Amino acid sequence: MKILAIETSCDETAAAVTENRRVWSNVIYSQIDIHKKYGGVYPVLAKRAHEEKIDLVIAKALKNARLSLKEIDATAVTFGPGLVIALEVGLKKAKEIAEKYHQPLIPVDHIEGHIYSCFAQNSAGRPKREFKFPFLALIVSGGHTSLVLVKDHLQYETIGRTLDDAAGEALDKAARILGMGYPGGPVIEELAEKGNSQFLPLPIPMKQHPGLDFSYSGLKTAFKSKLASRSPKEIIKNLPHLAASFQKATFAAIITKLKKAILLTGVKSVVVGGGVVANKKLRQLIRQCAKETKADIYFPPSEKLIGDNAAMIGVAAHFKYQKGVYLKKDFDRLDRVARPDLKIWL
Amino acid sequence: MEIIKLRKDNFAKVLNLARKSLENDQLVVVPSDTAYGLAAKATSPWAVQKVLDFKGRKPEKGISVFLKDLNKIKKYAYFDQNQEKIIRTLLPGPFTVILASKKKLAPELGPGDGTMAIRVIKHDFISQLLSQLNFPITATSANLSGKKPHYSIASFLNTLSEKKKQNLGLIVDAGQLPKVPVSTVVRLTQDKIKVLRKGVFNPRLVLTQKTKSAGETQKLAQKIFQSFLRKDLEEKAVVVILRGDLGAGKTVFAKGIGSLFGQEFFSPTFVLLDEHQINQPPVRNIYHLDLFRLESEEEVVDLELTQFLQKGNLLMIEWGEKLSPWQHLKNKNSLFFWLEIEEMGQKSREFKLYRI
Repeated sequence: MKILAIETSCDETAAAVTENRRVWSNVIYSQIDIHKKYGGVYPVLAKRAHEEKIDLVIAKALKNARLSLKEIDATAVTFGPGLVIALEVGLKKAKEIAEKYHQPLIPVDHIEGHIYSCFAQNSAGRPKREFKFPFLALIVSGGHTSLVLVKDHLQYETIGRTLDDAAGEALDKAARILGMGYPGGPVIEELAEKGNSQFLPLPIPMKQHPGLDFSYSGLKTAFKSKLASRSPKEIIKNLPHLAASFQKATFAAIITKLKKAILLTGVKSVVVGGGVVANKKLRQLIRQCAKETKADIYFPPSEKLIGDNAAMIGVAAHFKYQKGVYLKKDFDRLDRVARPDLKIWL
Repeated sequence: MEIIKLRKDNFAKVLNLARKSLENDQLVVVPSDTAYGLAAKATSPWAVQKVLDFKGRKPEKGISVFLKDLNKIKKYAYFDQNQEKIIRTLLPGPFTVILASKKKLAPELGPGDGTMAIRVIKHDFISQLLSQLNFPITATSANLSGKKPHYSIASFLNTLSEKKKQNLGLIVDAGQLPKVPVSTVVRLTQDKIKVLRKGVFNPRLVLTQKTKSAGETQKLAQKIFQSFLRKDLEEKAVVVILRGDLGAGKTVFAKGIGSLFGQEFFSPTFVLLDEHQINQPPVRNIYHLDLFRLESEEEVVDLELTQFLQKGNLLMIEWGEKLSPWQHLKNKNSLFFWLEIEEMGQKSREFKLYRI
């Protein structure tokens, strides 16, 4: 079944055509790229930007897949979590298309998309990766830091999540504290490569906490207060070390909880998704953790599937359709939800 | 002294007259976004001295100047990236911003401590006048020292002696101006915004309290809710602007209020706007927002916040100062609070709650 998937939960306007797990096209119009041209202005709210780009992005996704809307069997769309006003743009468009072409409409949770991103395949059906339930999903992005136990298709149990800031958000905010712009994660990564992560000792968030939840607001505050006693000159001189130290603490919290989750659940198969996974250091730490715990680890098979994209929404939608989770009519029953927490439309 | 009425059909002509008078170091009374102003060439010591003589006393904080835009501010004042962000947030708007001066203007402007007071406004006449001039003009209100500003030329002239009138070069009469209060003066030469003069919004301090931990901050939030917000929510929408640096505890404060209703609040940075349905009278919904990532006024407008300004709704807005000019949001259905969070150490904080 050919699915047109639409994703507008945050900065990216994305559309894709998928069939089962295969991705025929995956078009991402990143607003960050566009706006870098304007000297670092990022209108992240970007409702208008989504509205302006969505038709173009859908047309390109169809063209790349060599299909027309008439040949599409279903439309899938992200309904949350995300910026509600951005979500609305994608939802509105998806409803329009489903209505006009009498297609089923499949609602997908953005986190669900990230979970399924590891099972997306290219047009030749690779990689083959089989689903081995139950498995653990670790999602780390600018908006999310979650550990999910996936018992079967559509059967999710969130066993750990952030109580305040997401890991990517913490990295962004650290960059902000160091006087750098948004998005800060990539800047921190680049700086950290050349830095000594032992330079500034920072507490590992929630390390002593028995549960699997994350928290980054304390780390952020500790970082800030430790910098307060240093002169701007000293901070600038040591930027790589400071970035490396903060990144180390941020990731150590993730690894601590991932390890704990593997031990507590006894589940030894882990999929990892979300924008922060683009960070090489984090991937290296996760691999190391998998080795120590003898777990299998799966990352999204291509770079374009790591950050926000619509192909992952299409792949997840395929399994939702198979389980009968879609709307045939009355599309207005589907509304955007800022934090669905993998609990709605399952 | 010449009085000329400003009309649509003579706009260019009046601009030209005003420009000539200013170039010749004369005083010109001009309409502005607030009251009538007394304009003079800010680079000319003679012209500025005339302003001082006319007003009768040197203002303590110096005489502010109108500049066209951020580029012009760059020419006359120093600011860093952070200050630039604040400037972009506040200006153009009903604010006077104090920055470190590059000392390219007449020293008579004062205040003599190396700072200067800057206004950038959205106003047809002033903007076009500034485009025609290659110098900034004074932005002080046209009134004698100790007297109130004037919103009509007739009321202004009534207070003047014949001799004073003769010291004026030109009066541009744009009729009765809307009674917009004077601008709020904001000092940016230190790290934090400091409000020196209250203008459009007049905060009244209702509570000062220190906390020593995140737990205490949450308790304080609950106390503030019970003592200040609960009652008002019976009648109106209540907006609380949470103002404090990164890591000051804005989200911790909001979490404290959420837990009163058995709900868990998270950082709204990513979703921008979190809606929590409460339905426990008098509270209907709590909207928890973080506007940090927004860059322009238009984006704030896109959020369509006015729809939430209904009885029983509580809006907690982190980085809410971005709502400038957020007085537009203030309507008869809404009450505004401003919570300033000051970091005293790693864990201790001082909270100041203002009713606006």
